[in-house]
Amino acid sequence: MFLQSSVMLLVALFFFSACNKKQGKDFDSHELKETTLQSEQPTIKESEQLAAQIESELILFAQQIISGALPDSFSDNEKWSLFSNRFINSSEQSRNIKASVFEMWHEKNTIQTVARIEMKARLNNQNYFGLITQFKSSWSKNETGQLKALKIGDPEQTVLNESPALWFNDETDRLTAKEPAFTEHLSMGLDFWLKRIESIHGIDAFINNGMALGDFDGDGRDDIYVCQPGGLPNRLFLHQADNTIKEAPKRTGANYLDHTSSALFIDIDNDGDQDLTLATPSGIVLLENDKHLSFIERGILQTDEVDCHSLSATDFDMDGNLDLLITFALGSRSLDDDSSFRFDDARDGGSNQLFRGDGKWSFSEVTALTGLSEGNDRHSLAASWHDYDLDGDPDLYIANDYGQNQMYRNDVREGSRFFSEIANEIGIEDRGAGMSVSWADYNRDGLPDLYVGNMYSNAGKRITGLSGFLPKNKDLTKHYRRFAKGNTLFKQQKNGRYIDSGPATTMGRWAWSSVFADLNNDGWEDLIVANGYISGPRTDDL
Amino acid sequence: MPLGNSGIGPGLDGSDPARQLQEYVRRGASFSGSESHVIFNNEEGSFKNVSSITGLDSKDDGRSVCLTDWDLDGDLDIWISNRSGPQIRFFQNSNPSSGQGINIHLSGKSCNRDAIGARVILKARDNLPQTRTVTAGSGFLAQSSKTLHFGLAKEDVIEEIEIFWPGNEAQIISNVVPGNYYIEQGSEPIDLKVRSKEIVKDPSPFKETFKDRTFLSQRLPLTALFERPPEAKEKPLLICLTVEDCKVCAAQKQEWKLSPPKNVHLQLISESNLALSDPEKLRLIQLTYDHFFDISERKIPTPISFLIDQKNRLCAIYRGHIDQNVLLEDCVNIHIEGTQLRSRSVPFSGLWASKQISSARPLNFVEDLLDAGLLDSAANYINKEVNSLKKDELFPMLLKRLEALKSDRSVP
Repeated sequence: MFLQSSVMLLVALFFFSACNKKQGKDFDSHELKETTLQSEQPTIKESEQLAAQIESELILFAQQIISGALPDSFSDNEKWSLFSNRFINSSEQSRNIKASVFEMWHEKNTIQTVARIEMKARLNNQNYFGLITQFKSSWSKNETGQLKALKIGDPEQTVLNESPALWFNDETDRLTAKEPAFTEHLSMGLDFWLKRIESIHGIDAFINNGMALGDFDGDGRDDIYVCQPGGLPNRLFLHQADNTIKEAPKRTGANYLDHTSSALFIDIDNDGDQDLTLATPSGIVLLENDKHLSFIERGILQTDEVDCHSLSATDFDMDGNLDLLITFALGSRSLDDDSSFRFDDARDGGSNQLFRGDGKWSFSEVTALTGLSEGNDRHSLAASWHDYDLDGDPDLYIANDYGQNQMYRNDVREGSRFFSEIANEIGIEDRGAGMSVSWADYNRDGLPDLYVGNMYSNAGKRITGLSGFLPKNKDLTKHYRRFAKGNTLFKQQKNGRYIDSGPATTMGRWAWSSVFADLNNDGWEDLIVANGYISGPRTDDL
Repeated sequence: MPLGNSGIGPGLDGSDPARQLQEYVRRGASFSGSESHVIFNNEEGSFKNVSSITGLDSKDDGRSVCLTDWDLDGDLDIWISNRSGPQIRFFQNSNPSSGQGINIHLSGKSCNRDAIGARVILKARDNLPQTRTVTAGSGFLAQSSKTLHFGLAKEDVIEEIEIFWPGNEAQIISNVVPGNYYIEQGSEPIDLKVRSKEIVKDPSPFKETFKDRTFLSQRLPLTALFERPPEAKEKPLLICLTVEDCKVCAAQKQEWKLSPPKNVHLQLISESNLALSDPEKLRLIQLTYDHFFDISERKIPTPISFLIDQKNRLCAIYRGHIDQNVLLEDCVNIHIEGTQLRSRSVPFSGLWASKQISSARPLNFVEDLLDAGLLDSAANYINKEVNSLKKDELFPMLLKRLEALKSDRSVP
């Protein structure tokens, strides 16, 4: 079975619906006779349909707010009226609404929810305005199944933003318009190619492919390398003087057709130009920059697994030669027996591998030698090196799907480099569906902080909150809830331990790359979270 | 483990949740799709969701985020890779409240030349220090620029910049103003733009256009599905499925009427006729089409054509109108093998790191038939292709599964 990473939640949903069936006795027999309510406990499917209905109702409500046609019952409500007033004379075409129910429970004969609505529009003064607000609401359903709002509570935890201009302009078309590699290939998404390229080449619906920036041609501008699934060529685009991109000539030898999960521009041979490394199922491809716009293949570092993900470079032993770490999600041992697979603590992942650079394009596999084989059996989607304890050498954080993450401290033991796994010790195990790692000193206290990308799912939050959800195992329920919680921002304290800095930055949605960057030049590093899992041609979404 | 659907062996039934999920997505469902990107603004250490005013509204299922000051105007721009098209997007920073910025590109001398691991602290007068580290690989499957960027609030005056070169003495640089710098270990900063030079770009960049057909790398025996008519003689078969009310189908038929395709024996099948006369065969055509791909189409696109060689093996699938020249070329190449076949089976040219692809397994096709509940067709296929199927080590398991499904069916 080839099931790529981070499909955990949906797998969990199916798993739970299967549990519902299997554990029907748990649901039905015990309290069935005491109260009729238990027997009316909706199935996950019914409950999800109800959530979708409530979301549609809330969208109607939000439309009334944004268009200034607040229902009479709310005209005296200061907060909702205030919101409605902000949108007066906003441009109709610019209005955008989203509603999400993320908590739902049944109380007597009512349905209680906590929901969030997001509204934005271009105001009369041409400013961009948006608001996100959270509120409680209660609903009832009559015999014909018609939904009725009993109460919509006051807005809580509202975020308002107004700006004379948007922070970013989408300039993709301007930069790529004349580029056939873009128009013929990259302008189409994965779903297009999935129907045209045999899966045997290494392309599948769950595949993920990354991207790298580096100055390949030495003109002082970053060029861009786009990784592709098997059967499609990776593309190297050269940054032109007018900031558009143009594909490097074919003779450059960068168009690998193997599935490439990630790539790095690094100067492996320390000769002042950017070489290229690629993570592929066949191993790590090493390409030397010959300074004449071409690559020379300098070998492939054989790996033990094939479901490659992140590639990162460091000099962990400070010898001046760069070292390479590759992570793997699925292991070849995995999923022999599905019943034993633990979504909250999977230990059947592929083993990550560390290759020490010895100079002159020679590398040694030192995973076990350096202690990295400790706990090396998780589904590792991302890794990033950072000197977290400011002792002068890089430490390693690995984000794992289906379980806890790992922090390897770089130590010297008997004269050699050795990694000690300390994630629990310093409080950053972050058990969840880890997908990305980013380090920064966001509060400018000199201590490195950490942002871990995890899945955030409204559906997951709703379902794990249902009272019938895994009724026998409260601990497990807690873990599953954690899985849908979202990203975690870890702040380093003076004692070297980390604390979770709270809910303000958790709602990143599906949250693939979740990274620090000062986007508005105020000296404080902001966070950007790239989103969306799979938008298929069908509209029904879980 | 093999990639793609070839990894699914017999023995897994539909009750397995992971398999159900896979099937769900393969049939085109969404899963946490159409989500917009999120930006949290750091306001002196606490964060606020500002997504509504950032303009990052594309909903293409974003994956990697790479940051760089692409236009060297002092602020960070964003490249995002996506699952949906376009697979890359560029967002240019146009933040109205931007202060100034400083870009620093480091070059190591007694450490690694990329200075990966170097930590840089920027101290501005009366403000907290800022720290950046040179990193290669962060976020998810992404490498951002190795040029470090610092944002500077409008009133910031840089006092000094301290560089901790990996495994080396720290270096302090003072008297710096906002701009773009290149700093070699132990030397004073120089203007990054000084190093910029015009590269002579390739006068004839390679250009390939995509042709909407799949020349298969794995030929599937199809005797059980399409009988070879005697009049086809030694020619490959081209079977084209058309529907009424389809302009492309009509145009294609008209074109062939005027000039029949050379080198092939053409068979036109009308979908509506087939749906009446032999609906199971229509189903088989759909399954055959879907077999090779990891995502299935709910309805087979038309016109759809199959090129079948003299040994009754499916060799190529054409979507829509067929370019005569492409068809001619495909017929000439119908028996190629090895690397030649491999490069012909992908839409664009390139290099392979792997020496070969895993071998095709017709057994998987029978699995597809069983999954679809077409037990008789599966039995018929096994019967006709037993010689190629029994080479597969999983063949006995396949037979067991077929028997199990048959006995399930016979239980009322």
